[in-house]
Amino acid sequence: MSLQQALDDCLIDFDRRVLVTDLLEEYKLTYKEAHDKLEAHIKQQEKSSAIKYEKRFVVHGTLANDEGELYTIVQGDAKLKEWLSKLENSQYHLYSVEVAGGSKSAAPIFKPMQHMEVKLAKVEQRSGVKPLANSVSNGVHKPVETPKPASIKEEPSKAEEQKKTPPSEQKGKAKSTTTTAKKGSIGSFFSAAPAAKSQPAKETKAAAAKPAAGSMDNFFKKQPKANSSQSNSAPKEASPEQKNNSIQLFAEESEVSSDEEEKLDKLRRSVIGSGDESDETDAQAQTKHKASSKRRRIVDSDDEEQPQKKSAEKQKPQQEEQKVDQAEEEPMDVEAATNETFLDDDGFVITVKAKKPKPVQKKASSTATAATAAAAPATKKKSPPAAGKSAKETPKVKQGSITSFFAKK
Amino acid sequence: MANRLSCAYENLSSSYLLTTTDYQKQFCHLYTHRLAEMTRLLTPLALKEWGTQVPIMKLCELRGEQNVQCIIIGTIYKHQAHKPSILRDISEENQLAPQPQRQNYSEPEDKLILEDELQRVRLQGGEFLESHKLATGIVCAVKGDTDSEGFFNVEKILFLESGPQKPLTVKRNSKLILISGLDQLQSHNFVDALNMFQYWLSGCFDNKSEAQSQVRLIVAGNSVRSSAMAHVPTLQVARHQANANDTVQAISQLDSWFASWAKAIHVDVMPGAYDPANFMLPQQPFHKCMFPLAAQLSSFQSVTNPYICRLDSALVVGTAGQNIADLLRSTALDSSLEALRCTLKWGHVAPTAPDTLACYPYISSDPFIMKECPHVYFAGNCEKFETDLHVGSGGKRTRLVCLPSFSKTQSVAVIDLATLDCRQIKFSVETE
Repeated sequence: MSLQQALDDCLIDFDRRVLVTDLLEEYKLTYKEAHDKLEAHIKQQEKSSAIKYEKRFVVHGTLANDEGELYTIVQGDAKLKEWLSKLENSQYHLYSVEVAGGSKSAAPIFKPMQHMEVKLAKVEQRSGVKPLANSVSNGVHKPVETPKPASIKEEPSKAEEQKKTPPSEQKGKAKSTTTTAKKGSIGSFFSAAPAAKSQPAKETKAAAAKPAAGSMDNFFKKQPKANSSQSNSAPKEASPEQKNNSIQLFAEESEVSSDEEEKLDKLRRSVIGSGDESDETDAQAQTKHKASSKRRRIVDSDDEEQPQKKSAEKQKPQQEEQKVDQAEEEPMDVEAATNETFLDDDGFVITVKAKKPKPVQKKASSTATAATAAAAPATKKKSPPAAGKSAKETPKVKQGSITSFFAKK
Repeated sequence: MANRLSCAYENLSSSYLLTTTDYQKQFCHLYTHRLAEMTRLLTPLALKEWGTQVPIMKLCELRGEQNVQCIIIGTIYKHQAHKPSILRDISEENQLAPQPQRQNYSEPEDKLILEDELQRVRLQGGEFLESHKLATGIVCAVKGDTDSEGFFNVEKILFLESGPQKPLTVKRNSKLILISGLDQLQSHNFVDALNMFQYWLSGCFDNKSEAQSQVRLIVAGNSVRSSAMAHVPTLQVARHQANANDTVQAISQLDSWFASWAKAIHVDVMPGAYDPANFMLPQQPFHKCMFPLAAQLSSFQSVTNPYICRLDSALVVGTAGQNIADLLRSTALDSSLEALRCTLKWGHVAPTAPDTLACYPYISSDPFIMKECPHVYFAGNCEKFETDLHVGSGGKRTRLVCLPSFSKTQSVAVIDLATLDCRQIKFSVETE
């Protein structure tokens, strides 16, 4: 609807103060057009009826004494004439109109302009900036609630379901859990911490992956008690997020590991039946599995974990059969013990170090070794697994040197 | 609908953006860097002005010798008996009632001291020195000699004068609009003026051709409020909360105004002394979350205070007025324009910082040194509109503009960037 039509139809209520600037916004006119139409309408109304209008004008001109330009609002024709004579290069426009002598109108509401006659050629919207409507009220900011993925809660209980899901989905879930975890400050602390401390996280991964495969107990059963106490404490310290992640990350492996378990069970049976030969068959079977499991580990990009996993997998058949093979292993220990005693006779004091692996590997295996382990310093019991490995390796080297020494003799 | 003239724009305020916020540092680093940097800039000027016959010396090189004609470059320290001192306040608070803060603590008895890297010397030069117009923190070169009483008799004094100036090559009649002190919390007192201003900005009052040439609007601080918030006792939580809500609403309203204006013209908004921004200079830009509507538009930006930008080839430097207000308190300068002119001559935007004007403790630079002479130099939130074309040494021309608060005078300044002409536009409502 045009302004003229609105005026003719008496749709504009002049009982209240009508701003010309409001008409510009409403009818999308230039100020001159709105002024001309409104002025003509008012003159017509004043002639035809006895209604008197109270008019305000914007007077524009240059002040004397070079004091700049002035835009001022004056009320009434008399004031208008006065100001037009006062200013240089003066001109005027209607600013507002209301019926004179009517009830006192409310103060007009001023709004930011939308209609403009000169504007920027190109106004670009900034990307990534969205108005936060209704998000801030009276200084209170409501945090945005993010839906919690249901998978987080279900994952620990539905480990078997995760085994069946494709690896790609599992990884996607793992990502989603990490992203949601990062939103929380505590979550971000725990999720960020593994990045810095990748080694402990991987230990927990290994620890957490095993229960899903059902071989956790077996894994820890074969660990020496000195280490097992340490390794048991690691999963306790791990946060639920870490457990979830580790479960998801290793679910792929756990799926395959169930097949491995079957094969290993077969191997165990054959070990029970065949005795020493089982080691060789184990080794052959594991070499096959290693190739496949290695690929999986590469996918998981946990290269540093491989030695641990390898050793764990190696230990699986052996540690499962610890009780069965104890009779086979004990002679080796005895042999090592005899070596120690022999070296004592020869005057080499390094023979004591040959006993050090015992408390690490088999503290509870025999009472005799337990006695020697008690003599060993307590600090060595608390040494990390890597240190334990190095302790394992050094006696072998020394044993080799000792045997070569005797071979020379 | 006509399009507005466009011009090349470059924001040069990056040195005022704080990358670290370490407030534990001492302010001596700032003075050290100020002296070192300005000595480097002043030395060739002194040699050019006074020749090589008079040596530039350090105070320690004088070794108490008398009547040695030399040039010394140092920082002025003005010893003022009534200068606000937190230490004195603390020491006296248990004995005497707190003295009311003076609006101006400059007195004829104030002593001028020149400090270089190691030592200090009392300056005397009578009327020539114009000690009442100088302030702490000004770096200058003085030529004179020492006397038996340990004074340095100043014969001539040389300031940086804001470094060299690039030639102005603006050919089109690009115009810059400056406004300050919108004081949205009190806007109900001047809504008609604000309404007129925005429609004038958009060229509705038969000023289309003029509006087309206006390239940028700079809002020079105190947009939310233009006076200190009334002190509220701590226990009156409800009232305090009400004030906080007022501020939030005022910012929301400002956002809608700025969003509207930014469709018509490029808008740069600086924080001011009483705005919800950091207190210390340089004040950092308002966060975009404070203006969610306006921040969507690329033509709107929050900028630092002080603010430096280049429009075509015209260098524009300005503040929200804290530097001028503080200078007027500590000197006998009688107008904001003179204070603005002095800071231009001294080559430093805020010489009284960090002495009596809060300033970030910079440790590796002094970003307030004016290394390039601006073409337009303004200060917002002054008492009244004042302007002058300052012509410095070498014919450097700078348009000085003191902007009054819009809430008080309902006026803005329009500067022609080609000719550096400046005029005031008033939007007033005649009261009956």
